[in-house]
Amino acid sequence: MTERPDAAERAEDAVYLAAHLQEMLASDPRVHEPELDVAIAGTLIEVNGVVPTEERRDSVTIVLSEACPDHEIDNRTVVADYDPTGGEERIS
Amino acid sequence: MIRVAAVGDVHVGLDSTGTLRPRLDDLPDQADVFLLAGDLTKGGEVEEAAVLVGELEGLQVPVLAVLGNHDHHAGAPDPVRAVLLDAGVVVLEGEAHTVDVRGTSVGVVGAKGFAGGFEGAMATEFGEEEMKAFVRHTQERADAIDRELSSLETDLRIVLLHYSPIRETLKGEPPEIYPFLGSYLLAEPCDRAGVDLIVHGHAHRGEHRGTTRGGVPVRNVAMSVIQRAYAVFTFEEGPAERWSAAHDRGLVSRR
Repeated sequence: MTERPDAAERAEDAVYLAAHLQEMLASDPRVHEPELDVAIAGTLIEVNGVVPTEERRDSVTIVLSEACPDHEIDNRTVVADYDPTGGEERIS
Repeated sequence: MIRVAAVGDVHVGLDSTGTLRPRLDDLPDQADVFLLAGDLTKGGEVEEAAVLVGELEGLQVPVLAVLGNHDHHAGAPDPVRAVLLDAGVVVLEGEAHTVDVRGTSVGVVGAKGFAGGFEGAMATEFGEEEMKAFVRHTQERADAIDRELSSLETDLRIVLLHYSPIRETLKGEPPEIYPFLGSYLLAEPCDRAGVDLIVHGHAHRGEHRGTTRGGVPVRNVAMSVIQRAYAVFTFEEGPAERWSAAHDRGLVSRR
């Protein structure tokens, strides 16, 4: 086995863990959001992106907390709140 | 004037009841046709499609849709499609549908499309069976678009996709995932036919506007891109004048 400095090992593991959590947020039926960004610093998991509802935003925290109970979750996702009127563009 | 509204990636779940409809209340005053560019549901569950149907109920404009990858996730795209069809939503998969708008025929060819990448950096039908099947899935959808466009004789011709036909509307997404967001194979038949507009979704962090190599306007209408409930595209010129001008420029030959 290749020997690595502890810090490097932790950083590498964090990158893999972030990728696995991103995959989890895509596949878990409570969320199903493949385009959320997950980053890990120490025991802090930060997640960013846009979700359609408050319930789905809450589910992001629940799913990550279940997967990593020893980590703190910083859920920075925002619920989409878009203009109800259509932007008009003349094509021809 | 013909007005076409479009949005993609609404990702309706069981928690979405009442969230979409208030944003659509003004749509009948602003558009003649409403296009849904895939990812209609969160995870492709029939119950989620039923929620969407509730959100669209009573909308006084024709609604045409394609499914997206989310709508396939539960392995039940046909039941999802059936729920929508029962509610009057025209769900297209390699098919065409024509809507008459005050005497102008608006033809929409719809297909989910698929992935594979773009000219110069794309997957090819070579190697493992899995890779060949991946590329073939896209090619079959492109062939269906080509087939439908070749026989579509309407005043306006619009192609409705979920996946992108060009790179340009993907800018903002990580370049590494472009091959999973669309394919040039989807643009080729549209250029060949000289369609009026292509709309797609799927690329949440992409750009709204682009153009095919042949000059067809492409619009990414993913809700997170347009930051609105829907975008509206208008076609001001009468069809006869438009076709005549295009023919004079040697751009199209009317079938």
